[in-house]
Amino acid sequence: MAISTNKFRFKFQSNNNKFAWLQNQISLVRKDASREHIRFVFLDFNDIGFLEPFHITALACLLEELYQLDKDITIEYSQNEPGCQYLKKINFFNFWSDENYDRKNFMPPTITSSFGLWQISPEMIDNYGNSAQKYFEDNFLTDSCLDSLKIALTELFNNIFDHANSPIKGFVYCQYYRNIEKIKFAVCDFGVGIPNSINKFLMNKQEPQVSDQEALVKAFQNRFSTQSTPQNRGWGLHTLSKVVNVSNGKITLHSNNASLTIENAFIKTYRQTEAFQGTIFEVHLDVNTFDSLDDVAVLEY
Amino acid sequence: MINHTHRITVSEIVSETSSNSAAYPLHLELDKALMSNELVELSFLNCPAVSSSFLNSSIGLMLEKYGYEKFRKLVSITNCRPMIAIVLKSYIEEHKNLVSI
Repeated sequence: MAISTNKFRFKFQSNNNKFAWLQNQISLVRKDASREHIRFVFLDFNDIGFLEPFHITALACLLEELYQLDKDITIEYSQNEPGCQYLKKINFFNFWSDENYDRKNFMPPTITSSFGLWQISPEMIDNYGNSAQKYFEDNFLTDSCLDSLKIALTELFNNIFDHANSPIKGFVYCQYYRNIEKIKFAVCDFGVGIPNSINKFLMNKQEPQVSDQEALVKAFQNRFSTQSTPQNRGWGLHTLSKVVNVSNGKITLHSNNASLTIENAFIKTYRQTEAFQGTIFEVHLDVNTFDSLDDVAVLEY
Repeated sequence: MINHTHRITVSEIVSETSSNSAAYPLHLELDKALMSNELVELSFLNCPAVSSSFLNSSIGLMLEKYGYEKFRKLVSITNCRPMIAIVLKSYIEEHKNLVSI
């Protein structure tokens, strides 16, 4: 990395530790490239390595933030580097380099197992969820019902618009991994972060602050809500965890100074020494748990 | 006095099932029926998966207004796909302690 006069250069590198990658690369670039005197940003993707939805959405938010700050962004990549080839195939670079690219619509990429990168907008929440569900049902999981995918996506989209206060819209990316029989998706935003949002709510109610780890756990508690809109009842993340648990899945969440995982209904939290200004969810769903298309349940309550 | 069963097919009266605002037509239909003490069959035939926001502004408001017991007595839910049934059951049963406002 080099900072000189009005130029900023950074070379991304692969890292198996996702949170370390988030901190040491994404957050670092955000901090230094966004300084007012920086006009030109050069990002080298040549060693970026294997990318998952987690990485894609974080990178997208980063580039969008720099784009909105009116930085002159140059992306350096080799056609031969697998990570770069992958990004090209999912139309990643088009978002910031192709003036004719329609950012509001989701464009299926040439990697058919991926549903493509999309910048979340309130008007398209339902449409994206339905379309992602239908895409994977029609093309890969033809006898299965992917209601859990739609519900999980929609809960996270609503969560962003209800709570994030993000200056840039978030991004979502979804992919089917046939070899491990999972659908993975990630949703990232650069908003205030869940712990900050919860502690601000508690402060306004003159209640004691909680640690970032405790705040993430609280966010999943049923009926806990910061009441950012009159309709909030605190069901969103609780519903997400229920659906993911039934789908034998996993949730990983990073926000501010904490991380959280939920797997088999078991919650683990981790304190992070460096803060991530924003929220990133990564969700895995086991395709073997999906119901058949024709299944109907009897609901007694 | 309890009257005849009124069937409401969710997919026929709402345009989508993800947002609070989309739930309004369902809220109106349910409210009208419950206020009249009608038996309601709430059908999720061909209905896309529902979000908690959608439920908050439809079924949730009914549970808050009329209470769990009256809702349970008057409303039956049919034609649910399994994951929607799981979400609905969990949502409704969590309101067990609510009495009507």
